[in-house]
Amino acid sequence: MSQQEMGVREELLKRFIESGERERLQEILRSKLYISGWQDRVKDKCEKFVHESGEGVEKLTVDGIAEAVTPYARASIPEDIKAEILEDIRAFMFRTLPKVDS
Amino acid sequence: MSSPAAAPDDTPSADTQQHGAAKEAAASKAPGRAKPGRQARGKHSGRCSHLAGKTKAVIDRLKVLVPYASVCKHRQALLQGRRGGSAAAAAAAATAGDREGTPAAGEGDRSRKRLVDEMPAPTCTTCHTPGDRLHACLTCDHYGCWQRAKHDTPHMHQHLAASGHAFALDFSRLVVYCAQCADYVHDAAVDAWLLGAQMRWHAALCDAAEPEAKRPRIVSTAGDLSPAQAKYLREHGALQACGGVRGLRNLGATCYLGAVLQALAHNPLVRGWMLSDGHHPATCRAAPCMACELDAAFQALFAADAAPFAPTRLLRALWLLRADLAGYGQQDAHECLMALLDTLHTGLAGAAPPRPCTCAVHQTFAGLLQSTVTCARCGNTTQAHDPMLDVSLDIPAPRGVRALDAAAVQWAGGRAGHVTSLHDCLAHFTRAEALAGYACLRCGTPGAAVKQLSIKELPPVLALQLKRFRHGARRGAKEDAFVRLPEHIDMTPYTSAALASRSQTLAGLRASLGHAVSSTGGVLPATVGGIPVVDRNAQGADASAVPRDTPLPVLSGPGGSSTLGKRRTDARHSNPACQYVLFAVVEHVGRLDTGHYTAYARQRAQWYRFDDAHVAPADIRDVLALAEEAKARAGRPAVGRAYMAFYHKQVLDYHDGTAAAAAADGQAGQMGQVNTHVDADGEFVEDAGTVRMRTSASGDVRVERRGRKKGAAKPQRPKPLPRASKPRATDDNYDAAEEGEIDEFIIAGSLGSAPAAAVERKVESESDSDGEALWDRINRARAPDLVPMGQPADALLADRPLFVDPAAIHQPLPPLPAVPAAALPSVDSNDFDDDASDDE
Repeated sequence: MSQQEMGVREELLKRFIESGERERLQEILRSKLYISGWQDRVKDKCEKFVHESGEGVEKLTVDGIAEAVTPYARASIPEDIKAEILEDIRAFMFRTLPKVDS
Repeated sequence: MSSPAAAPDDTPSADTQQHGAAKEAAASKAPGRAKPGRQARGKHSGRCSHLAGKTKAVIDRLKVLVPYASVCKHRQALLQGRRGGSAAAAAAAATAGDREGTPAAGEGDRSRKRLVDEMPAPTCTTCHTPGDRLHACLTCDHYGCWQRAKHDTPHMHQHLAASGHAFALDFSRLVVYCAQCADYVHDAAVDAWLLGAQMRWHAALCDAAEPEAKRPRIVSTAGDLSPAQAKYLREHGALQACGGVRGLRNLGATCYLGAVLQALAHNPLVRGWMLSDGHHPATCRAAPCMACELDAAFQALFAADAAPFAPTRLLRALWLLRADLAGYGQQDAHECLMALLDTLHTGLAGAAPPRPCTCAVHQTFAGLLQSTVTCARCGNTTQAHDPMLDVSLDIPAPRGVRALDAAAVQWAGGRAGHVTSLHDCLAHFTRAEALAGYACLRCGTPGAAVKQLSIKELPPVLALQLKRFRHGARRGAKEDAFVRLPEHIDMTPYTSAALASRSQTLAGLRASLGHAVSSTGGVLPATVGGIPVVDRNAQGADASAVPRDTPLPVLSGPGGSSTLGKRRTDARHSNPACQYVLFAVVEHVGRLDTGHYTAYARQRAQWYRFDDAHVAPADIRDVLALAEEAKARAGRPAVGRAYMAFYHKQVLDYHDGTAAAAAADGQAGQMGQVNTHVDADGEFVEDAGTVRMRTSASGDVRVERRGRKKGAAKPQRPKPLPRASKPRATDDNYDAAEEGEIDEFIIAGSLGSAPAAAVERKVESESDSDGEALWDRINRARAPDLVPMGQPADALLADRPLFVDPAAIHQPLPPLPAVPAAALPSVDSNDFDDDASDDE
């Protein structure tokens, strides 16, 4: 990735956050994942992981559990929700790219 | 209604908080992190010994960081509120040809820019990326990210290790990380402070999300106690062990009643009301009275007795009051609930209830449904509002039958085994329906129209019914389709505001630009860099099918409902006031004419399954039927049993007659001005602006606080009024409402708490300055010929677990000289303020 591309990328990311678009999409995503039942499934997975890990709850850390469950969580996101959010992000990019370039 | 620690999994902080929501990958980790937080809190080691000694320093630092983090996080949402009606602004911006897809019109842009300039989003001090789970050091001004991909340890870890600083704050989730524990840690004081801060922001965000919304607020959870009563209780009362998990005997095909009663008994608001003497059987003259019977049933259910309870008297009262339910036949649980609520309302509010009714039933369940009809010819819209106590949802066909849906499925990669979720039902409920033969008032010609239902006001407790029983012309049938109920739900997409805002933006953009419009409202160019842009709306062939020159119906074009349904969650912002948590499910097994009802309900963060007299602990997996869901997902037949679901709001809005409310209320400027009269029922009524106190002849005292009057001219503020009465202020998170200008009192969603909390509240609610003032006043102003309080039927009440003897309370008070009401000073404000400053 060239230097310039990195610059554009970072600028985009900055605008993504500062415009509040990221938070807005996060809220929407959260609400969609709630109602699709994804959150309950992941929570269930976490609980199972905690139960099954023999080393006792004391030694588990948040990061450890996150690492273990992330592959499942990532894979179980409903395709349509993923597609919708990606489309929203794309729409934001199309709106913002011309401004970044100039 | 209890301290947040009582129900740790209900606190908002335990929710998922996606960090890199844009990258769904990052988002998918979130609950993984949230979950153990909850675990950690449950176990004793979740307490961090390192943090315990340094809470003061940490909180001092949090006082700076948390507002900063909140502004960074909610900047856009907060600005949306400042712009006023978002829907109107969005439409205006859209028709003005503003190419900015978001409703960020001129002014909003400017103030946002100012806010960004003043408080730029922080970046990682090491790598300068703004995203990636930023953490702020609680010792110095260092920000570090949690990125792992290229580095062995995250930047924040590196900083903490190098500098020896102990704690970091997760900048978006607001949780404290301890370097020595190498995990997120919790401390009662810090968590209480954080929760308080979150509640303050919550109020601001709710108002921003819907600036002119009238959220139903809980006026009062029960009969308030005077300080004297509270003192008596403290000295003479005894706390009982908690019940609440008691089976109900089947009295002959009354499983419907048992299931509904359990759902009602675990409804935190109804439970709180009934257990805190919201209704006095001793003073109730109606017979049969459902409120009395329910009160008795609740006393029994929450007694520390494990043997099943037989609600015979309640059943008898139900039969007497509702002849249509009498008899030993099988009844519909939903019908039974409606009958119970109806009779309960009559029992609580009497024959002539005030409007809006402040009885426990309406405070808990009442919402407002909006029906919008748009004429397809002239685009004129008419709205009708209907009160609702519950929402009855059809179960839509499980698979997309129409070509449109099939296309959408294909586009999404062709999922097999679609699972009907509650979203499908709600989207179906709020879909745009074509009406034929509609006579428009404006253009006068009968023709087609589009009708859409939405929820205008969401109730504190949302009762949902899945219409499983179809009564056809010849024969009925039961719908056994599986419907997945989520534990958490965001109702924003189904509210009137969200639907209107979205359709207006879309309609405006389409009409003015004639471009293909993406579902977010952004205008998509045909190609970017040679890559054709796929617009799903255009693909769905509903947007382009509508000729551009005809006025578009405000609520999407005809036939647009399916796409709208899919995309319903694209409301600008989710409103934090619309977040709900599941607390009870009523299930039905069997057929239309015969079957059995059971209930799941949550009690103190533990789920139980109630099957008539049998009670067993249950797992949330069973409640949500995750096993059935897996079957459905795999394409195998799955049976749905859930018939009714009850959700409560995660954060409740309390309305207490505060100084602000009083000031907004025209007549209440002068607290001294109190109207007293004896009303038709022989009740002594004292009207002091927002607070009205009724004393009935039989000794029942009722203090009502009425909502703020909307649109009342603001009078110049008189002398400072006594601060809000805080009868519910027994919690750690209480300071939420003490600081700042928040005029409602909010308690975190720790509703899964015990009845003991409700009982304790009686004992502890002494900071009730309003109540105290009123109590004083009523003592002074009472005419001698009125029947004094007391003389209750002691015998009747002897077996009540926690009973206030009004006579005993009454005596210690010295007789007060009669003072004209107008001369009364606004007392107690000093006391209260002292308390408040202590808490801060």
